[in-house]
Amino acid sequence: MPDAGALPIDAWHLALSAGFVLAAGAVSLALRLGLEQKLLVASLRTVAQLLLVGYVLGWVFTLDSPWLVLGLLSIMIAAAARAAVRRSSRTYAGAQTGAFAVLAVTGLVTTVGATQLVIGVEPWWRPQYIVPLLGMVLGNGLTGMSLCLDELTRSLDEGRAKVESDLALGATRWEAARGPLREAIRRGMIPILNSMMVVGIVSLPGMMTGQILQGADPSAAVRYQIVIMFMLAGATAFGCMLLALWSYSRLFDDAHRLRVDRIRKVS
Amino acid sequence: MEGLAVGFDGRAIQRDLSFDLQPSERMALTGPSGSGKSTTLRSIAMLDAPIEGSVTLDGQAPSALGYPQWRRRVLYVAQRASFFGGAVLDELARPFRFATASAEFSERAAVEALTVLGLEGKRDALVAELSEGERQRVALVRAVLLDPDVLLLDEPTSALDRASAERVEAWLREARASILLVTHDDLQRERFCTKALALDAADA
Repeated sequence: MPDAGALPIDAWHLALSAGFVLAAGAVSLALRLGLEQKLLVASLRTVAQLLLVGYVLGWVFTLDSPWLVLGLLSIMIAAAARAAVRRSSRTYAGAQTGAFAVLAVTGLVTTVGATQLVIGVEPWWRPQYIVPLLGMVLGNGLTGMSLCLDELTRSLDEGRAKVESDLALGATRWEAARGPLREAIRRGMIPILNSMMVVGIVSLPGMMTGQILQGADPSAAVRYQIVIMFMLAGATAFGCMLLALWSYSRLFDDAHRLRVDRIRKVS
Repeated sequence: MEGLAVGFDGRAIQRDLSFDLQPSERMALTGPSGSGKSTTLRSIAMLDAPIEGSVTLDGQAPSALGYPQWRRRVLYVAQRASFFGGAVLDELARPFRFATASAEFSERAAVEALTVLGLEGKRDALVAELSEGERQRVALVRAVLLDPDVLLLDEPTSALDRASAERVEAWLREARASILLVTHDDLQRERFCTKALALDAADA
């Protein structure tokens, strides 16, 4: 990547950009949309979280220690697992553990796979590559997995009578669960499939935009983006499948019973 | 069935239920609302876990037979049956795709049963478009075609008029299965059942 770099933004100009949000807040007040408080909290969180992550990344990049990188990756995975489960309208004991394990496996396999086999990063834990790439995989993975979890727990809870009808007629738990599992995995895959359909037409992905702003050759940025889209699709697909299977193992017992009593609604 | 206790979340609604059902016996299960009639049927079908006690079929426990196989042979039919958006014949064929089905789906047997129950014109109708009473009969046909040893029926004729209910009863008498029947209808109990078990109001 040429190091021409994007034009720097100083503090004054950064503050100026808050004008966009302030204008939106003024509109909300004028029209009594009641959004101004949420907008304020969201803006403050954006500033605080990004400044913090900027410092943390700077620190991790300088210290250059594999253990520190691994620690950061674990925190990212745990936060993503928590978000994946919290966004679902229903959950069960063990969902978070499952989501953590699934995100760790799919996230690390695809990220390390891409940096090693495709991009050829040395050493494998070089944070400039692995941290942002894992971040993207986790972000997409958690969106897909939360939709998948939401759909599966909803259809087992609301569709309990159907599942139990199959069980009562002699279906194994697998035969009875197959329909809801298939639907849940499909639902989880919809966002990433949609974004693969329109990528480059409607929007330029954030990382590609960043590289182009940095002065990179667009065709090099595009190659990165293709690798990333494939990583995201693979990680999300396996993430949804594994989480669906994990949920299946928790929500059906050895007596081939559906355990809706283990599902609880999240308010 | 020996010393069965049924309930939810470890709290028993009924304790010490014991009875046995011989081939071709039809037993009524009666009792006030909330006395655990449906829970008893669901527990025998192992859809709910019995709190204690044991149920056996020809001396075999559900775990020994395998739970799916147990349920195919000790078959529970809910009062409001569930279907999967298909036409009547598709819905009847569906459980024959399960690994536990003991025979191939016979369209001839299915149509025969529908005819006996007055549903001959409905074989290709969508189940969703049928009346409640028609759906109840389709659910019974779906269960009987699987040739269970025991049928656990939860108010199977609650949406039927007397004449249709009697037609169903006559047809069930011909079936091989013994029957455990939840009913609120004393007349039905008297004309159809060979014995009865009355549950008391729920245990405190």
